[in-house]
Amino acid sequence: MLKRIERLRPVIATLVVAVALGGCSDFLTVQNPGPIEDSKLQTVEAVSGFVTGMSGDLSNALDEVVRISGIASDELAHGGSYAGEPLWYRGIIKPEDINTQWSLMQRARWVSENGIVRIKTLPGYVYDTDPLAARANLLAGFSNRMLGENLCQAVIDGGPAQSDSVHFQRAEGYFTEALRIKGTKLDSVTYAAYAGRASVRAALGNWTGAVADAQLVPAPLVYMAVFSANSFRENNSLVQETWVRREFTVYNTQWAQVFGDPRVPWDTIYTAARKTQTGNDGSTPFFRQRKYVDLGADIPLVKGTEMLMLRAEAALRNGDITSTIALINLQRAQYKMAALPTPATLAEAWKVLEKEYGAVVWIEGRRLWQLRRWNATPVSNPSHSAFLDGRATCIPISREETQANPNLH
Amino acid sequence: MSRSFGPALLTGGVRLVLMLAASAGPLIAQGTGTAMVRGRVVDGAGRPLEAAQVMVPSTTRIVRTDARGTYRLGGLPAGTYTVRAQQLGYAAQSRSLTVRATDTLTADFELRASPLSLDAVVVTGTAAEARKKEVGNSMAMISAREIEVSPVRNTQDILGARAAGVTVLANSGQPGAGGTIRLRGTNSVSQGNNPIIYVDGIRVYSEAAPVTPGARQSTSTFNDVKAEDIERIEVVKGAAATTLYGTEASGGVIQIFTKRGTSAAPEWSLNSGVGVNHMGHIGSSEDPTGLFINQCRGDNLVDSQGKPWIDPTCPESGTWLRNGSVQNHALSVRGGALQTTYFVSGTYNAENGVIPTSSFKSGGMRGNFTFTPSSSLLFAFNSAYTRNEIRFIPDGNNASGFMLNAGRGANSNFKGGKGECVGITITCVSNGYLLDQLATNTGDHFITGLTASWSHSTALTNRLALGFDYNANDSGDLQPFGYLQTPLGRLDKSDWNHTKLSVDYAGSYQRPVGGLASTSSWGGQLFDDREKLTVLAGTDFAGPGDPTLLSAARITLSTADRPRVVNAGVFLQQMFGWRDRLFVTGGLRVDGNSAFGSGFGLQKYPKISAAWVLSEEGFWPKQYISTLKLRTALGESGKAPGAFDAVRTYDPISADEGKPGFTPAQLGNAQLGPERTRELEFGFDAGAFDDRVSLEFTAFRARTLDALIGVTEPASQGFTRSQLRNVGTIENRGMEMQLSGDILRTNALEWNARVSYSRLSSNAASLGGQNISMGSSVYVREGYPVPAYFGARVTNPDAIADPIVVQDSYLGNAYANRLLGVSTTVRLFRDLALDVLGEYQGGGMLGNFTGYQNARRPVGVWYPCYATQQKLRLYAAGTLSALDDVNAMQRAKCSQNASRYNSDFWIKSTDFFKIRSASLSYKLPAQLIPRTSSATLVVAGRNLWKSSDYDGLDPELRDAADQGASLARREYYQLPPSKQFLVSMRVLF
Repeated sequence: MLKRIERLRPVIATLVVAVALGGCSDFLTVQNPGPIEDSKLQTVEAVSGFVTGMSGDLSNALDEVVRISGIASDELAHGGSYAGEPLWYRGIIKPEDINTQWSLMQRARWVSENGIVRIKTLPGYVYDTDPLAARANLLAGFSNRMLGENLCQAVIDGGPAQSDSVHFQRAEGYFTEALRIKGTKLDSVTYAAYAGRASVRAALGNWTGAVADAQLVPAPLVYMAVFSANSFRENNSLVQETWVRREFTVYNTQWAQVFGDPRVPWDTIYTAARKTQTGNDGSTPFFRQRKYVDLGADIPLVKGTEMLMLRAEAALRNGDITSTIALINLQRAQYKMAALPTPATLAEAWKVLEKEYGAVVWIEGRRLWQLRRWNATPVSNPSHSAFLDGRATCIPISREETQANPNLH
Repeated sequence: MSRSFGPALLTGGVRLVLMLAASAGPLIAQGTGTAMVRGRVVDGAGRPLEAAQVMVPSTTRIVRTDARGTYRLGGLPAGTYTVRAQQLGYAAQSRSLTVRATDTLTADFELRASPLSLDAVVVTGTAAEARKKEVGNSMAMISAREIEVSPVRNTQDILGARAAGVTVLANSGQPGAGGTIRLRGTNSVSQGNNPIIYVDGIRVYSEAAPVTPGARQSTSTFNDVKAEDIERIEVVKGAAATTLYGTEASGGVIQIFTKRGTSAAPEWSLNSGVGVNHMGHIGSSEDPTGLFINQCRGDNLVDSQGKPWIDPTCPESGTWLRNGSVQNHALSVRGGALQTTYFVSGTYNAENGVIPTSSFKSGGMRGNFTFTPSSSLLFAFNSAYTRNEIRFIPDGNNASGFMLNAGRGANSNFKGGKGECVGITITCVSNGYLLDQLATNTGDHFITGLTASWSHSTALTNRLALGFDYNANDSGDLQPFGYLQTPLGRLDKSDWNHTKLSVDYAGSYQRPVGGLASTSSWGGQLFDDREKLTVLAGTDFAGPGDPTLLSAARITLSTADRPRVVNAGVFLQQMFGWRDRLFVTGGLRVDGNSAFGSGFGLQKYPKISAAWVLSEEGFWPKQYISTLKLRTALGESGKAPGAFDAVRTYDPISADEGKPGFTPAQLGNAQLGPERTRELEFGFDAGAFDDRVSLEFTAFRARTLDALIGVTEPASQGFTRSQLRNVGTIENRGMEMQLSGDILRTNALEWNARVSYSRLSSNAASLGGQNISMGSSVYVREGYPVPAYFGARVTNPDAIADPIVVQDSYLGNAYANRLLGVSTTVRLFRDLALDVLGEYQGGGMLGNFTGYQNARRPVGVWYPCYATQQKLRLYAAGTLSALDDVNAMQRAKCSQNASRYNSDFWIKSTDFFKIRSASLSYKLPAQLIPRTSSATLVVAGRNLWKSSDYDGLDPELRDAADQGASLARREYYQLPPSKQFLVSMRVLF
């Protein structure tokens, strides 16, 4: 009997091991905190988080655009230690250098557009009247406008390259949808939607429609992309680059000759030895922008003063110098600036308009589009701007998108 | 996020284990006796061999010799035994003894030097103990004796140049910084290539700890196992050898065995040393200032235009460097009785770096206990605790880094000071304030394991090990209130801990089957890894003092990760041996892992190997080649994806002034599985002249199948991160050779030497169409080595002409692919020994971003470019003959024109030869120091000499924060390794 048990020992030991393994079953079930599974977000409670995420991703993308667009369009110069930015400053934007920026811009668009599709289908969600749905559409509109104004071509959801105007068309649709949801209620979202739609209608050449929308926007309106000192992700990084580091300077831009303009605030920094501080490259004089002075500084997406300038440009396109200068002076009045005299010629009026428009949207990620549309007019046209001659006028499709997207091969 | 793979694994595992049970036959019980065998183990010259193993094979009866070479093997029941004595580097010797119940027999052993050590018992990759002659794969072994005579600064240094196919790179010269270890190159593009580490049979965390903010370097938990405690190290390098470790093992396995007690009176060992860290000249010999570190004062502080600058905060000595003191102390005792042995040790290491404020302190203790209640049962309890306290200098790609600012001369970000520069009319920098910054790292590492070994008979053995590995790391970077750049102060903190719980069972059963020896092995492991990482930053303190995060007006949380990964697997192995000379082994490992995709299931890794000791055949002419073993192995192991890689996820974020939101994180892939590295290796171990000379040769070819590649999805589809997919194939092939020999052995002179050489060749055979950028111009591309540098190349470097530049060219391997290690020991009059270790690494490249950044700036401060930049300026001013002797490469590298300069021009070959260490040890005459049994004086130096054409600071440097766990490397203002000189005494009493 004893020997039989001896013989069974290995079998018993094996069964013990097997049972022990069975006891490990709990060990083999892993619950990980952190990232949220996609499937867990199919609930009405997630709508608020989706829309906040849309806003966050738009701010993230705009944060990048403000810097690239800024140094590519004479709003800022590079005087720091980074290796890629000097090229952008010289008007050279290569596909391989803008992978990150392209990704963030595309994510901002996809998140808002896809989010809208998703929340529409959530059981129990009343899309047609929810203010969050209106804001989602507004953010989708601004995301598309940002892409349309800065990218050379549109690429939607891994599709083929299309005209940049596709983004303006989509933006117009989203702004219109936001207005539909808002109905008759007038608030900052409504005005921002009108302003956004005005800007993309202008970009599409529908100046009549643009002016009609712009006229509905109060001059004091400022609708912001939200930034915050709350977390690194929410920071306005231009503040980091100009107040913590000295990478971007106003020196060597047209704005270095503009003094005491509340729309273009900058100052000169001195060392302890009372010498002009230099940028991080050790040689370029450092003129520091003061428009954004803390890491939580918001960046305007649209303003009532911009609408005045849009209407001024529309008037000047019609050759109406008087109306143009009147609208410009209305805009200046908002900043408590003295009125400008009426230019004598169209050419002078265009010069005034281009500078005033630039001042209004200074380092807001909008200037490259302005210069691009004025550069596109014939050289003989008084509206023609030559600044972008021989320079990049827009951001090309990124190298990574080209490589990953079979429709671009 | 929940994942369970338990049911599938249980089904497979139980089936596998039951198969084994069915094969187990009748067993013979063993009892406990009182007989004893004792004696002495010496080498051929009559010198005692310390820590030699004396054992009764296939039982738990194993003891170690003390410093006098004596041993006591007790508790034996009456019977006839084979008693074997073995020591790494010597041929094992066996005696057959018959003992009666109360006998005490004497059995002395004299072991003959034999670098091959085919009789050595190994355990790594073999399921159960096996003689090296039975193993079909190559294996490197490093013994404590090598470490004792050849000084190491940290444990990773032990591996460098001592075994073929092992690459060790220092990464930084900062005391306490961890390095990079690679076995047989790069097999994984995305999942890391660190080998897994075992300490006394317990698996420990083997990745780098998080980067210390400010210092931008990681510590390595590998270095927490103190060199003084190590008895031997086994290294198995490829998938063919690591199959039984399954998932995670494709980078190889390193197993460290620490010292154990002896069944003898207590024996104390005191090892105490003092020394100095000394930097020497930094960088190019053309730069008299040594990147303005060797000299921070004087007439040489000029830029490329000859404009001087000044740093009033430069120390009185005129240099930022100092000689940093070093002290190492280790005290241990070992001993025991017949049933219980112990080894207890304490270590303390402290060193100051060559830059003021840099320091490293490390202390630890270890207790290894064995208890043998019967001849069939053994318990081993091993625990070790290590605490490290490091103060780094701020370093690397860091705007407030010491090397970056001090090394950039007039371009330092630290200008103006706090009044020092008033009245100074030239550029005035104040780098001394950089050293107010405190980049600190405090690490705690606790390893404990309980191993029970049960040998129910000489045929059946079982081993169950429970292990727990705990790592905690509290690192931070404090810019205190009043700091020059951030007057209100800033504190960055990283708080990390990682626990690894392991349960490891292995059994084996030996019995003859039809005239063949047979060993069946089976087992299973479960590893539960849990990690916590919290990264925070606080800015703006109200006033001076020693702040915490709560002292800050603004606190930002950037990371709060809590991933858990569970891997469990079972294995089965069968070995057949024929006439103790031909061995064939087959095995299968089955793994489940919580990181596999929900639709993936289990991963199976098979293996087969064969070893044939040809020299034991009767026809073999032993007079020429005394030993020859042929071996070949084919096997697989793998690497699992990360905890979240398989699932489509969103990240929680804050936006709209701190409101909660979501953003796309991971696209997800339900079919995601591990990548599998399949390796075939073959080779031989040969000995000549009675095995005094040995040659080990291995050729291998590895293919990583289903390689996990981060596939970039079109960003226009919303997910900006790449998604891991099993789409790649990576090939790795190479050869390893090690020649060892006792060249000369007389009474007055002994000379032995070892040369190891390996050559690696990798190729990204398929990447699923991806072109993977690792950053810093390092890519993985189809058809090229993994990884490789690509970028702008000057096609006419030596021509006296403007550079012709071809974009996106292949520039070369990012890692060395030719490794040569040379070591030699010369012993005079038995007691005086000189040991030298040198290493050559060739075929690799490195981006010298220090040179690039210094040269390209408008205020150029790279001395080797001064002459060229002067000529470029003259040329630009109209002196066309100025460039008549300036070649295209010089023009390209030294250009300060933004449209021309390019960091790619600074990617250079890192081929180097270094004298890693040299030591002179003298064994003092007996009784010179009363009450001691042995005393040895050692004078040693490390990192003594370097020869390289690399034009940066050092070819081994890397910024751990820039590239993280990716394969990319670049030098970016890291402090290079310093020389170290030590005088130490080892006393046994």
